[in-house]
Amino acid sequence: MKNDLALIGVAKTFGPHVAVQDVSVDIAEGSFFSFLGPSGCGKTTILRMISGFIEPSAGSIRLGTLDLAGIVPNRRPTALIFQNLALFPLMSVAENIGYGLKVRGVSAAARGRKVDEMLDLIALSGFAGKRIEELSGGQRQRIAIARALAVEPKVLLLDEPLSALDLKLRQHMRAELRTLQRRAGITFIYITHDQGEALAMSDRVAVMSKGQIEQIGGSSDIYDNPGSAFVASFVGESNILVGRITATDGQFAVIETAVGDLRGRNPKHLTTGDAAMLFVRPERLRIAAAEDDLVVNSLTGDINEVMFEGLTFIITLRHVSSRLVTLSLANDGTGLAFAPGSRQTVSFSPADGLILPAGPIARLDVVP
Amino acid sequence: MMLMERLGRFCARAYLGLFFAYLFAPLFYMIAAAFNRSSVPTLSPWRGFTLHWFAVAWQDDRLWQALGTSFLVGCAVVVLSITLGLAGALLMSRLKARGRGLLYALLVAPVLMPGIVIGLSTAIFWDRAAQVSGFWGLAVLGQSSFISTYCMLIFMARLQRFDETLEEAALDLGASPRQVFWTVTLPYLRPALFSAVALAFIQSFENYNTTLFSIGIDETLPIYIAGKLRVGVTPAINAVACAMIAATLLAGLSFELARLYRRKRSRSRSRRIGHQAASS
Amino acid sequence: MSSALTRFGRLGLAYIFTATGLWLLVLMLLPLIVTIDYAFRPFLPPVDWGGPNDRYTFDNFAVVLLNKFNQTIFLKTIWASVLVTVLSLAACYPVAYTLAREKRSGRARWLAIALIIPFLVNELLRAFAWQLLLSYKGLFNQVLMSLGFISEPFDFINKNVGVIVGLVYTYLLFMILPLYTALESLDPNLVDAARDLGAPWWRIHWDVVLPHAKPGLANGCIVTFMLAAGSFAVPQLLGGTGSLWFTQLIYNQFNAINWNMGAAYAFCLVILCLVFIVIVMWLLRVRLSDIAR
Repeated sequence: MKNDLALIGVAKTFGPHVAVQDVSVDIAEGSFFSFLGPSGCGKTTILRMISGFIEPSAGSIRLGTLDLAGIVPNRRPTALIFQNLALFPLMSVAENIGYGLKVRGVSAAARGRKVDEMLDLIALSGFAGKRIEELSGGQRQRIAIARALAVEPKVLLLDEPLSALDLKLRQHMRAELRTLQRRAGITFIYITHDQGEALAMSDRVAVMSKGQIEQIGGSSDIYDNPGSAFVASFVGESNILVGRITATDGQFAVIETAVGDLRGRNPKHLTTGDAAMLFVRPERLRIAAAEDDLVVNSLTGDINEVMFEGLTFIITLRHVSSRLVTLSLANDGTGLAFAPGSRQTVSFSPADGLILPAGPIARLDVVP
Repeated sequence: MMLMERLGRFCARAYLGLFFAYLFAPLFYMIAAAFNRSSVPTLSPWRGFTLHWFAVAWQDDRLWQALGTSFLVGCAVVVLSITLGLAGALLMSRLKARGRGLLYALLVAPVLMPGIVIGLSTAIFWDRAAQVSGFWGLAVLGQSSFISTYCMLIFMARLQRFDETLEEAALDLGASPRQVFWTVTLPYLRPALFSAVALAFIQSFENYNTTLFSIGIDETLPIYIAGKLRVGVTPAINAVACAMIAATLLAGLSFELARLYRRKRSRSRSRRIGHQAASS
Repeated sequence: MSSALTRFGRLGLAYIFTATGLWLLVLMLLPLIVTIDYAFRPFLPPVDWGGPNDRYTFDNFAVVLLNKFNQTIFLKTIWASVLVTVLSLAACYPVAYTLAREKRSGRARWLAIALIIPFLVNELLRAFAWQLLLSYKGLFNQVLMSLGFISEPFDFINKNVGVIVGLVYTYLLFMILPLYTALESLDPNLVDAARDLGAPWWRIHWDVVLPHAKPGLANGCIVTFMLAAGSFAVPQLLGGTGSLWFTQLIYNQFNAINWNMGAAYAFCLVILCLVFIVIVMWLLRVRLSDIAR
């Protein structure tokens, strides 16, 4: 379409430090696109390159047929929502929203109409005369979006705007942002380290690590079919078992791990002898009934700890090899049938085990 | 123990009293002497109350001329120092490169330089470089070299707490760098601007050392006073001092009142808006 | 620098760099360089400029530093300025401490205003006020004589008393403010803790309060010394012909159009100030960044 945004081989280096390397991505007009990655992965640099505050060291950024190179931020058809929102503290709500129009020389009357329209859009009519410091966190959020949308940008860029809000409000704002994007009908590019946000809101997600894109895909695709060890470990929870391929057959393979030989999907067509990692989501593990304890992929150990999280029970099992395995069971209201310390066997279907080439994984401590 | 403590507190009080007496007594003495009919400024002997010396000072044309020059110099210094100090502050607060430390040291150095040296070097430089001998314009240049530093420090202190993303947000919304400056940066700097203007004017108005060397035959108020003090002092100079102190106190008082009034108004305004929000 | 260009625009950057550059060059560095150049050249009539006699020489400095008369005044300026600094410190420390410990903020504010008011009065007039008190027929001599302490007037002015009292008076604020700022940030609980542990009051100050106030102390001492040593109005009014100040030598040369000699004097004054800064910083073990805050 006319206003698709394309990044072509974009790179940015700061002295010896490579912040972004060889990023290429097409973002369809009117879609909600997220860059997801741990802090320091280069996602903010990408956003600042799109908005024009940083010039790429290599590659180009195009909006439709327009090359954005050399266009200063104040002439770009993009608008940025800052992490701290950057609302002008000395101006009222109306002055904030109308600011972009005012500096373009739009008349006060036309400006007033646009401000009212924007306040309607964000459901804050009647707030025009308020001062910024009188608003709640969620209201400020919406004012910032209204201010950006008032200048009718082709692309709206959002730099982790929800990170300062508390959990409840954050979840509410996810839905709201998505609704606003549908109503405004323009491209939203969203930057976050919170996979929940990215998966919940986006049409497509790019997972980044160390300045490069690891994988681009739809939310469920990213979650269910991660393409690398990094993505599998960064998006969602996983039990990660390191080992070596001992056998392959068709779509499946067997991996030898510290807890025994396990069978799983082999989408990358690894061959016998390859170093590999097996990823199993906690919710795909289940407690095996006593009679089928001889099926494949069974792990036996003692229940180490049970955490109740409302929707689920999070259970850690200490395998006989002393390795910890996590599983989550849906809370069906009947409670758990076993006590901590009891010996249990858990298993998973080979289709729910994912074997990927061994590679760097996202460690918990790098995720803020 | 109690006794010791009480004694200590009494000593502290007494010392504070003595200290303030030391601060104010000479000034009161000087002011009071302006009203003595004596022909030399003194209180003893007291020859009766008079306003004669105020009349004498009032009729001195040189005084008015000096006052005019002081205003002229003061206003020029304000304009120049604000312009230079703001540029320096913007540069220092945004410059993250190496050499920042050195540049900062250079820009701050003038306030640590004896005023007399600044005056002398200004006079020498302009005489040598452009055959300009002393006049009020040189005094403006000499004073501005260090008053700009004061302005820069005031601006820098305010800019330190400035959220730079506000400027980026304005740019991103389509404002040109000039619009950003006038609509975002400058409104934020307004309180600092007022302080800098006031400080620059006062500093210029009071300056003697630097001015003495660079002003040539022109005369600012301090130069006039110094001249009066050198030969044949009469209580007329006390009258001038009295008027100056009164003017200073009046200016300070109105400045303080304006500040209180502004604060009160902004508080009641935000309360009013609060009421509206609550009732709607 | 490209981001600075986006931020300020071409015009903005041009303003920032031109203004700062002009300030630095035309108002500060060039005058200073020309002055230093003057200090190292002999005083010549304009026709001889650039001639065979116009070469670099230390002659001016020889006069400044080796002439007996000049030497006396130079040394007097040093010890008197040090004395002024020490007296200011002694006078201001209790005031700054009391002010910083004042719990009622309204009272502290009024005290601060009262402190500042005298310093809004012109320096010349403040010196003049002391002249009225200390002169030969001034109030002090009248009082002392009528009380019978002295039989004839004491010459405060020519015995350096006037200069020192006047300088202390004139620059008090520059000692109080940095001390107050430093002391105000001291946690009062530390003082109470020290007292609770049984330390006598002088130990509390020596071990707890003074080390905390060190940066403010250094700042106050340096500024006071430099203002005193570089003062001109106060010595002019409160020092007689028998107690000249170093700055007066500079002015005399300036008036006599011997600017080369004047520049040499000025150069020595600046060096003196620099040396004092270094000594204070070394004595108090503080760095420049501690002071210039």
